[in-house]
Amino acid sequence: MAAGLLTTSLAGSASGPGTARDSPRPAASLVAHQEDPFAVQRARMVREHIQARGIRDPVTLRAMRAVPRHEFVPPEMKDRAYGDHPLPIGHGQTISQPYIVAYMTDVLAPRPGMKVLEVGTGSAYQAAVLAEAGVEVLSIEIVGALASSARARLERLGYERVRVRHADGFFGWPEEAPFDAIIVTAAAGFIPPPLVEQLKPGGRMVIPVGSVYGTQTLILVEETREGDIRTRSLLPVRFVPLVREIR
Amino acid sequence: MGESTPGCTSRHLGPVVFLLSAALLSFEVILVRLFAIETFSHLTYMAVGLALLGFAASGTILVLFRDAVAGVERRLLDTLVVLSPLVLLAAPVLAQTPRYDPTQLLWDRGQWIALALVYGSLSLPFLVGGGAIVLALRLCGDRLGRIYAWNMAGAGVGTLLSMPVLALLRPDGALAATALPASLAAALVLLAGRRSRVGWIATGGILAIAVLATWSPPRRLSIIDFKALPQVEMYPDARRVREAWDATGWVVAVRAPALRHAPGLSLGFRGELPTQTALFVDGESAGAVSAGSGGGAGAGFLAWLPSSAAYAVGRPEAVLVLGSAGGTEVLNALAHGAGAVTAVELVGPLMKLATELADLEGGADSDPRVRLLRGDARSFTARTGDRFDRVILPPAGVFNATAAGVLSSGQDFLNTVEGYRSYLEILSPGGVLSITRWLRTPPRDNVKVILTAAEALAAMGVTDLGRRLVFVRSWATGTLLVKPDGFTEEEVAGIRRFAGERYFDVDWPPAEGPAEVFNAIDRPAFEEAARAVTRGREAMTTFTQAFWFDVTAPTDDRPYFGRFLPLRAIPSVLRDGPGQWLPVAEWGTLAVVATLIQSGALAVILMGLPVLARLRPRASGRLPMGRIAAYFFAIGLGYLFVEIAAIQRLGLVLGHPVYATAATLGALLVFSGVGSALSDRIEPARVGHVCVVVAAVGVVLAVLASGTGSLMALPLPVRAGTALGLVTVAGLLMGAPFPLGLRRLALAEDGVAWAWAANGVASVMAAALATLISMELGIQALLGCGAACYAAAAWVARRGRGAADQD
Repeated sequence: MAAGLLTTSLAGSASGPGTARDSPRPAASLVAHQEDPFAVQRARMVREHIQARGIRDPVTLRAMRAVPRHEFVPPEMKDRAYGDHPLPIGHGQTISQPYIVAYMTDVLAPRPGMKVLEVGTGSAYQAAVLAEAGVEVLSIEIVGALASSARARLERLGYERVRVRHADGFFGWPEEAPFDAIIVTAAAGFIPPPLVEQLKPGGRMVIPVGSVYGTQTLILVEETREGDIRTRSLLPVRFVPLVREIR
Repeated sequence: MGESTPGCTSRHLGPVVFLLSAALLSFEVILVRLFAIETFSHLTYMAVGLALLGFAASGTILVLFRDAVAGVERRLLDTLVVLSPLVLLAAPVLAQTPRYDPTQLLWDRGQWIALALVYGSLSLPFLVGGGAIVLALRLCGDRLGRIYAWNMAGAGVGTLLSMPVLALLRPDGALAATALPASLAAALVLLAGRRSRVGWIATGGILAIAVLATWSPPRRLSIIDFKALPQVEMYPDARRVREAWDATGWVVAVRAPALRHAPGLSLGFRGELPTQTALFVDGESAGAVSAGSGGGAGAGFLAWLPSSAAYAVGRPEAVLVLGSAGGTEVLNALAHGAGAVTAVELVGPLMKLATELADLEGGADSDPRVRLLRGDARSFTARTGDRFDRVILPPAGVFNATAAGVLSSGQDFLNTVEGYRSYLEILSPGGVLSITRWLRTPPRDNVKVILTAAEALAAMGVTDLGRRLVFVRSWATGTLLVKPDGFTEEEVAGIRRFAGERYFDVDWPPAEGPAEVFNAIDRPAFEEAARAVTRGREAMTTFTQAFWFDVTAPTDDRPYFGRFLPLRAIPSVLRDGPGQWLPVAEWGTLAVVATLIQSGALAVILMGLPVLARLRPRASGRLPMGRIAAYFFAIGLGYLFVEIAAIQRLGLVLGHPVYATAATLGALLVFSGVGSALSDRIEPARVGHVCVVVAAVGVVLAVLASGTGSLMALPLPVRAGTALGLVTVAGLLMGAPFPLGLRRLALAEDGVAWAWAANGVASVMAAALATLISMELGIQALLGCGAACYAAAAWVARRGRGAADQD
């Protein structure tokens, strides 16, 4: 996930093809569980850093347990993949803290059959978690090298429900719109108007604001059935009691 | 008391120390700038602060190896001087070698080893140069004051020179250029006495290397890729179109089709954004220049920015924008029909590039209605005779980013009670001050803005404060509008219409009936803050004390707007793992605390090693080592406390937080040098009296500090003269206790090195301590602490006299 930029660009696509969808691969969770030396660490991560902080949605928890996070970090960092913190993935991007990924997934309430747009693919970990939750994910990444590596990784792990584009995310993915949910992981100083337009009535958009290494909050944008826009500033629940203790 | 050894006979020794000190201080100042660009400012603070421990380490090493050094001091000194230019060039390169990633420090223990290697590499120039200086002091016993004077004067000149060097050269070239004065020092040593062919060749070689390195720096500017500039440069078809720099900042302009800047844009906006060129100061985002003037096709988005709330109460004639950055707010004022827009920008190169780009693309800054002024906003508002219908403080100004690079602190004189008052006082009748800031969850910044504005209004004698404030909130920003004359009902209704059409909320004044909420937050903190303001001082105090974060209104004495976690909260925040507290982390404060802890631990090691080795300084008779250390530690702390407080206050008074800081610091060091030279005429037995006088001056300065704000409106010669007078007195007096103390307490052999180590350790710890004291208690209290340190030194010196006299 990109560190917060005030000067924004939500990159997106142009090169279109190269989706991971077409590759005939086994299901991701199937691959993940075969000879997985990290299964215990992953279970602990979900138990201690996610469940214990109030994430209860079984779909989200199942997805977090299934996705092999160590496959989404640089090889030399695999032993730290299940720690409660972000890790660098190159090109100034990070794979988010697992709790934040789980929290954002929980907020979006993914269910099978939903179509989700992600702006800022990064390592594709968030996309893989959403795919495990049974949704179709269309993900846009502005950094070409990241888009390529994410595509290859998803293909290797068998995430067929994720398509990755190398493009400017500002414009969204109009030919696939509208979306049930949009997740903008390239934190921005503004929300591109085309993305708001591509959200279904009743749909949800979640945007982390700030830096992954510092203050970070989440903005939930909802479009009402009447077409009006509402937002809610979300504080990850575990932090509330912490903040109350500060003074 | 000792005398000069034969090694002190060279008449070049003073100039050698001068050149070396100039090189080391300019290295430090420029390294701070370089690191502020390459990485994050709080890490810069830690890395450079700890590297300075190299000075102290040189003293400790000379104590530990005193037998090996005995008799070869002069040869060792010459060797260290000759090595200095090479070490100044090599150290920054070595510091780049470890696989150091500051973002992983909290989770990867290996990163602490890499960080230690960075510290170690960067401390080398201070170790080598400091060793040479302490040897010179040791060699010249009876002329010690003069040698120390060369040292202080060199440090002062080095600080002053680093400003023009940073204006002439990019920071990587400027850092390499510090080898030039060091190579001149090496030349003096190599060519002293009999000038051999080898000496000439070596001199030529070292000078050639220094010149070549300045031309083509061995360490190139390399920005951590988590900063905004390298990220934007990764966008497709991104290209760097302009670059400019001086001591205030390194500014880069980048164009990329995917780049857009519209801070807090309404979710209701459906139009197009104009072509923009992004600007970056020290690698961080600093706005964008939009093509086309106020009426251009792409300017439609301006009416949908939260900051446009300032124009919902009517068309202004004269607008002042404080911190113009790329000119978005200037453009906004023009788009809303302003007849004249004045923009004040501190960072010279930012203004230069914004103007050039505007001329090229027809942007706002090229409009004849716009007047661009380079300088400090507080100075401008203190002295201008003009009146404005709107004063605009845009979000995310660049002041902090640049000032932090130079000062390594988070001071923000733009957002203080006195600052807001000065903006309100230049409003024309019916005028409005508009302050927009990014929202954070839980809310804190904008709550502090409301309380600070209320304090400013109260200080002006305004009552019924609730009627003077309107708070508008978007999904991402909060805008406080302040009108000393009070908003009319029609104006509030106009603002509500403006907000409703854009999915913005008006938190204050609250709606009379049930109101639709567009952007929900857990707690109505802004309304609560404004309500507390309307109920008076007691309610404000109760609200502030009960609030999650420290939202006390910052003042010029405690100008830390960005500080929300009180120090006492840090243990409870750190109790859980970093994954828990990241969202409330305040890295600046944590870095200062970390620096203090690390420097404290290293101080124990550096001061403890000679004790463990049972090495009692020779020629200090029966004087306990602890007492020597206590004296020099106390004056080290005292000097830095007074120095930091002085540059904080006088920087504001003189009007430019970067150049004025350099001038104040440089002058203080030079006058300390003069004081040191004059100290040779003072009987060493009077050291305690001198310390008492310095302490008394510190107390007087602490009292005077409260009145310095009133100096801001005076003409520059008066302000400069006053500042120079204060610096002269303080510098002359503070330069004496170190050489006097050496002569009285610890002169000769390794007593000098021991004192040097104690003083060096104190200087590093003092920088961190001073920031914490200033944050918690204020700048006046910091001056008071400086005075207390000198009083303590006087007490130690008096007690030490008895022991020394018995010898």
